[in-house]
Amino acid sequence: MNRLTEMTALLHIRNLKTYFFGDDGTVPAVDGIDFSIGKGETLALVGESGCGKSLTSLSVMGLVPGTGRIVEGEVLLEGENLVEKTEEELSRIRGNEISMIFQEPMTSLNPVLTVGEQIMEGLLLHQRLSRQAARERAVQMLKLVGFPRAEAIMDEYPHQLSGGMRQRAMIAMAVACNPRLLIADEPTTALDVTIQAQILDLMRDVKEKLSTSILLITHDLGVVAEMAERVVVMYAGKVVEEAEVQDLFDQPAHPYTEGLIRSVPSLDEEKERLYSIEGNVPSPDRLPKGCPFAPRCSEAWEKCLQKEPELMEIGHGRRVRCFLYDPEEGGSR
Amino acid sequence: MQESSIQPKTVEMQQPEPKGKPRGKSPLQLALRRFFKNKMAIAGVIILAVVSFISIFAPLFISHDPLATDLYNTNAEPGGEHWLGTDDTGRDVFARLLYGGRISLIIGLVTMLGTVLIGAVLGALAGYYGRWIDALVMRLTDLVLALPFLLLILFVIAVLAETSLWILIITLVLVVWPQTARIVRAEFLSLREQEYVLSAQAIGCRDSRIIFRHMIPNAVAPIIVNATLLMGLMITVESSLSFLGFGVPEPTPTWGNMLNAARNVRILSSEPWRWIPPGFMIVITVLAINFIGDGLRDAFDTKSTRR
Repeated sequence: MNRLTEMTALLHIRNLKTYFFGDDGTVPAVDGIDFSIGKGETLALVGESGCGKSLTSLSVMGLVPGTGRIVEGEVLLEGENLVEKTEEELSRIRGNEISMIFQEPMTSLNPVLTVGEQIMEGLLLHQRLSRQAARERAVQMLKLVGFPRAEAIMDEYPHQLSGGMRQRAMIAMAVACNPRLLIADEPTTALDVTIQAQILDLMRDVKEKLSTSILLITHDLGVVAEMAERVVVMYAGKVVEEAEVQDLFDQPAHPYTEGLIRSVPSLDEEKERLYSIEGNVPSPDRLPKGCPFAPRCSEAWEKCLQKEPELMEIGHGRRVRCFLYDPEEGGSR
Repeated sequence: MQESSIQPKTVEMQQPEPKGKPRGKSPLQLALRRFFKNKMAIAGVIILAVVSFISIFAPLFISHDPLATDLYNTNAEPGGEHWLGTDDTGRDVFARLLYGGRISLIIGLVTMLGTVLIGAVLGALAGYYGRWIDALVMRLTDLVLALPFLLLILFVIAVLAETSLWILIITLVLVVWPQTARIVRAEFLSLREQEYVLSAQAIGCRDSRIIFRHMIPNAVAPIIVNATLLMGLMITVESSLSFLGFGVPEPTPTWGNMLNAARNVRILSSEPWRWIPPGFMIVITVLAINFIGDGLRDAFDTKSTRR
């Protein structure tokens, strides 16, 4: 697959900037992001904690928290710019066209409402169904996500379900209205490995059945390899690399991606210590001059500390933000 | 991709079927079950039920009119005709005691409801939206809490030149709502950060729905506990105001204005049946309500270990 044009893309994010306006000044947490997701595609958004990937997803939903605000850019859902929508219009899109699964299944369901009530909520809000019809559809969704005794689960409260079951219920809730885009924010991070595999299988199956596109946010490269077709790597609020999943693992282009892949533990190799990238993600309010990754980069030279590279195409649908790939700046790759 | 057969993925194997009941237990039901295991709380419920019953159905227990004066039979001692004697104007003390309970309970209940309504809504708005709404509501509560309570009541009475049951209730509500508002606001500040609120927003709920359907039910425990204790407090406050002569005016009987008789040294020393019964009623009613409040608090607070 080559670069998605705006025509074939379901979601197209263009130069999105979400800043926080705190007492200590402005924090550019998401700073000019571009990428698109095709229809029926699974795109993984990868990066360390604090690189702005969750905020990107919340910006797409129009749910930027606290003092944050989208200052620039467009979020186009089939050509419609969500950034310009009113709160009223957005609430008609949320849960209906775009919905979201969160990281913590233990806290993402309301403890005082039954599972059934919570799954029916979106259906009643968006689809003008009668309670009876909504209930039937909710039972159907619960069966879809793998509850054999769906009828009984409908009237149970979240505290009666295990973590994996709650995450299934969350998925049922998110896909009940048959959304075109499902945003999954670290959907398996809080689960046991065995349950993780089940949930990933389930998401893949749901995607097949409902032909939903998935924006998968994760820091787990195993999950990426399992699920995604394309990968966008973020660092310090910016996209640093974009590639097909196979290309990314075969030949990571950006030194940061390289570092991420090297730090995944492997059973085959015998290593004394696991590789780790030196240092931490810089806080977005104290970004270094030049490339934000330069202080941690083994390949960096003076250039990198002075000027920030642009995101550039390097063929085969790949983009990378690094001087190594810019012959004009002395890049050698 | 492998063939997508989703159906029989036995997720629920380990999960035992809940015994008997088909419906799950909501957190509220669980709390109530804990509540009914608390002996003190049950005693409170029973006492309050009995007091309410005899006050509401007072005519069934006594044929005397609490307002009827009998100037030929004033300051009578307890006896067969008048179980607790009569007062200065010959009104039956026992009848006044029973009917007086109505006023105390009405004041406690209505003030509590009004306070919860105003306090919960303002507190919820302040906690949910923050910013200027929060600032406005909180400064308002600061203002009210800074006012000396008795002085405010005196002021209202002076301005209106009279008191009645409803004026008293409205004044009390205006004075105590900040307490509830602060509790609800604090609760909302923490609830707002819960993931299920974000999740409700992500499913497309509007603010009003999130506040009333998703958040208030989660804040109901502290609201109920606060409301119950407030009810007890309001009954005491009404009694003190009536005792001081600022409460519900004569001739309406209240426990408070019956206690007023105890201001007279003669009655205080030689006619204890005039003031001990109303005092006793106030004490056991408020005590019962406070037991209920404590019981509710223990039932809702799953972290507390003393049961």
